[in-house]
Amino acid sequence: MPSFSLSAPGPSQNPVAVQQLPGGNYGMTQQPTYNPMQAKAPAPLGPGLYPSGPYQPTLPVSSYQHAPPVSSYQPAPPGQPLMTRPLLGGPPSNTPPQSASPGPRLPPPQATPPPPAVSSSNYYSNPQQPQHMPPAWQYNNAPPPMGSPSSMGTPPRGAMANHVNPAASSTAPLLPPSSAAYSSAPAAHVSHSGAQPPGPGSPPTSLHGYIQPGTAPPPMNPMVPNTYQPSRASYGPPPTGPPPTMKPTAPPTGPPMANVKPPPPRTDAQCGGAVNNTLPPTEPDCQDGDIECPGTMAGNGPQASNSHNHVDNKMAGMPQHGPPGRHLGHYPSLPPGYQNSPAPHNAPPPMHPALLAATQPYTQAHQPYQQPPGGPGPAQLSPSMAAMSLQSNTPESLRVVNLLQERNLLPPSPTPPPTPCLPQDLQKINCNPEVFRSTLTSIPQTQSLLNKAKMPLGLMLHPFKDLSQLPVVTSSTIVRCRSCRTYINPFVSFLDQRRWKCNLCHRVNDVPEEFMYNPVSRSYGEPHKRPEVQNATIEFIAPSEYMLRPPQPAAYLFVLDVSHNAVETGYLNVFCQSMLENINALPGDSRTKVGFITFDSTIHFYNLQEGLSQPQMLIVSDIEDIFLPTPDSLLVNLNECKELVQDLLKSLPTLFQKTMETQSALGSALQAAFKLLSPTGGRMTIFQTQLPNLGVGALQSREDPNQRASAKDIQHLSPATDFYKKLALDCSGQQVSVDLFLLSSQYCDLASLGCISRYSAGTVYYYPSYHHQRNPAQVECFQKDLKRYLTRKIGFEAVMRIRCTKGLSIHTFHGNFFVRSTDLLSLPNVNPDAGFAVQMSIEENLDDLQVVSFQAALLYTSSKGERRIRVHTLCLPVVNSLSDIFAGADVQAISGLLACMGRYCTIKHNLATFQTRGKTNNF
Amino acid sequence: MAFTFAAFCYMLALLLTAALIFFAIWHLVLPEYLIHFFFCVMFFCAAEWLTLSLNLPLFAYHVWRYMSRPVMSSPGLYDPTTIMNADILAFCQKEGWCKLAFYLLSFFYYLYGYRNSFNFVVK
Repeated sequence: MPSFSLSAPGPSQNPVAVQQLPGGNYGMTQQPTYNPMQAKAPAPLGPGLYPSGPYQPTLPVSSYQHAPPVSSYQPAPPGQPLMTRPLLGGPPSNTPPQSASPGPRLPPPQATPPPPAVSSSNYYSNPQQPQHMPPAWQYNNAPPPMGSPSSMGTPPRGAMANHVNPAASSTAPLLPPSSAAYSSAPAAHVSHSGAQPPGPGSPPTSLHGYIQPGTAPPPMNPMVPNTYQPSRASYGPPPTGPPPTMKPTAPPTGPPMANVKPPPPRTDAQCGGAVNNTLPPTEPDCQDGDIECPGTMAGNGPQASNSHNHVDNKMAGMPQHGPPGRHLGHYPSLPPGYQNSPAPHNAPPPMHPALLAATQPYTQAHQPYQQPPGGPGPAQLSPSMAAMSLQSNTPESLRVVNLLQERNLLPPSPTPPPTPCLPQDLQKINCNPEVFRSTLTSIPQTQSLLNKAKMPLGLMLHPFKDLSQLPVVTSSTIVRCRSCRTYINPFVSFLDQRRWKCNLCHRVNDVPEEFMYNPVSRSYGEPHKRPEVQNATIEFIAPSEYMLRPPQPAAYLFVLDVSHNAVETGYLNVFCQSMLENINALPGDSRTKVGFITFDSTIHFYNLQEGLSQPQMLIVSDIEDIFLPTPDSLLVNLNECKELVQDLLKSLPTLFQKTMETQSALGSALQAAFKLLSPTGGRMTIFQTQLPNLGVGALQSREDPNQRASAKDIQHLSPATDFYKKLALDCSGQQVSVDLFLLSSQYCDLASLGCISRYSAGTVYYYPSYHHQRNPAQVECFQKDLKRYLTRKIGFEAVMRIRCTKGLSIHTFHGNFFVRSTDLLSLPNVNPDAGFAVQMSIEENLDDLQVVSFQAALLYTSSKGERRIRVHTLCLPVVNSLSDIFAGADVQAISGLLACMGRYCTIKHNLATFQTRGKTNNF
Repeated sequence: MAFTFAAFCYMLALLLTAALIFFAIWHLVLPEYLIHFFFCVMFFCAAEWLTLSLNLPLFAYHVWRYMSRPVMSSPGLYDPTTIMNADILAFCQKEGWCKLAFYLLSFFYYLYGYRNSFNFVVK
């Protein structure tokens, strides 16, 4: 799991970036990668409707693992921008930067795993990027060098990190000191990019990508040229230069050249090719080509989308997928076999034969590179480039990807999803793909056609994603279809002034009197101008019919492991610190409640009742039959008792410093917490650092270390006990959601523990080998996650229903929730990072339909105690030919859904079953 | 006229199968398994080997099915968290229909067996 962190580390800011993840996210628990920054303030960047920067891709549990780059993180991200800029200032001049940050380019060649580190850095860096857009960009070039400094120390771990956007990494704060290991990775970038303004290459691109979505792509081009050339010049030098600076890293190891060379050619060539393809008009210019490659994707994407031309989009989009990651690590890591590619500089030919066929692109590509002259430069650049171009030109099936070697497979920049082929007016108001998207943007008419296409049909959605422009409607009557209860939406048809036809069940309904009046324009008789009919995403303030009980207050209960092992990891300090900092930012109102429980072999409650001079600790040692010592004063009003809470948080880390208790009675603590929260509902946050081994819910180590390497199939993916599942279902029934932070260094049976979050719509955050001193990268990661976690929006006692046009039906749900009926998901809590996936099947032929619609309605209680309904409606065309289906396939969503399906099948049967089913497409 | 044990078994099976038909529809898993097991034992005691052999495959299936149920601490076969998945739901429904057909057929078979063993004795 760690190896592929699905989520793009990328800063949430890019709306697009997020997308990539969706798939991944769903699969597991969602995790937010977010930038702290964003969390609060949505980035203005994105012009789009939903610029919401904040959005985070949810990561699978593992995602965090990248941690490795130990030291690297520490450098505060904030500083970075400054750092980088100056360096960059002399964009072209790689050398100067190098000196500053030794690590630069070549080091990467090391072939070692270092890349991961990079990712980590990216992570952080990203957040900032948005702000400094312009600079960032430029930097990109420079940034690469930055990365270099990494220290070897952080080694392998990093592996996880990969996905990262190279770009990010480059920019990244990496700050000098840190991970040498990374350096290699960064170096890689650098080499091409760094040397190059290349920045253009990967790094810049990524930035680019981000920016673009929102802003205008055009700027890009101009930029590029400038940077580019300089870069070239720089090119030559960098390679040589770096070694000197690099001292720490072995990276420069002789190989750099060798390694580098082969790849470069490819990239270049391909790039050129790619460019050409996508942008026919573009000139052979090398500059354009190089720069564009990365950029193009982003740039084109949008355009394509507008144009409706699916094919084009894909072209642009598809390639991005693969390549992005590669740049980084990849060439260094390439096994000898791959590297063979003969030609050093020009050697485009080494590419696949297929490419050759591609023809033009190639030739053009060549030219550009050659021009660059500068000897070594091109070669270095090329690796990244090559990766990019390859994809675009070569049929996927022809490209060999060694997943063990190439860890960075995600594109550096977000890929725009294909745009459904809808009439312009519908397209304009269709739901944002960040929120709601389908794997096939053209729905096949029949199930048999879908089977022929051999692609999964499903939806990916982030129903609670942060949105910057969300129309909110307060109205006494919410207009819904009388038979299927669909909310009125932009895709219904008005037969006349007083009647509308439901687009899901096709029933004709009356337009109620109130709906005839349009509050926006203050006019009467224009029901089709109402906001409900103008926006695919809309929020209603729900009247009392939508409440089973008065809206609950926000309630947060923290359950902390304070056994010896937990104290040893030092997480308590981080947690308390983070809580103290964010205690005022917890979403809520004057009714917000908060409580704390700690546990080792006994359960400790904290009496925080108003009027006490200091928090009172109550210890219950009867863990077999847990009870609440003082039911009223354990969960207290945050505003009234803030001082006590702060006192507690300040003293907590020291309280258990000397503990020698090694056992963990998690099950009992959960039961106690459940009892405490069940009257109100709310969010329970568990911090656990070891295998629970006492009382109810005790688990045993199921894993035989000797089997790890040899086992053909991973064992023990399903829970060992149903204790956690049953408890989760109880929690779900009482509107309690359980989030699990697992910070452990040994086996702790996540398969069993995870159930507690899985079925209560919680989230699992996993930090393997967390330690406050030995693993600073994880600490950094933990801090950021925690900050986002504490301050992001939250919805309580939620349910979500997904409806679709008659003839389609929901087949399987993926995500964290409990399915209450065939289309109703019970979500005790919902957060902006939560993602869900559903598989659809076509039960009746859709011959007579032009379009089908999907509607997801999320009913929740906001942290302010308001009952609200958020409705997303997605409209897609129906097609009857295979080519149209393929043209409308959304590769990112498909891979996301496949990941979910793979997880489901692997747990239910085993991985081999999924693989064989995948071959026959018999899911 | 003698009312043999075999005839009694068939009569009992006849009644119980009627109940099973409903259980198969309503998915009352444990009662269904227990009743089926019960009259398998009865046929064994009555030495009705043919009838027993017809029922043994289903009995074996029941045992297997229960052994391979999801991890659960309470009795039961269906897991509330997965039963709503279309593939599992479809499988369980198909299973229900198949058993319904089997019980219907066996109902008439028992009717015949009952009459047969009864007549046999009478002669």
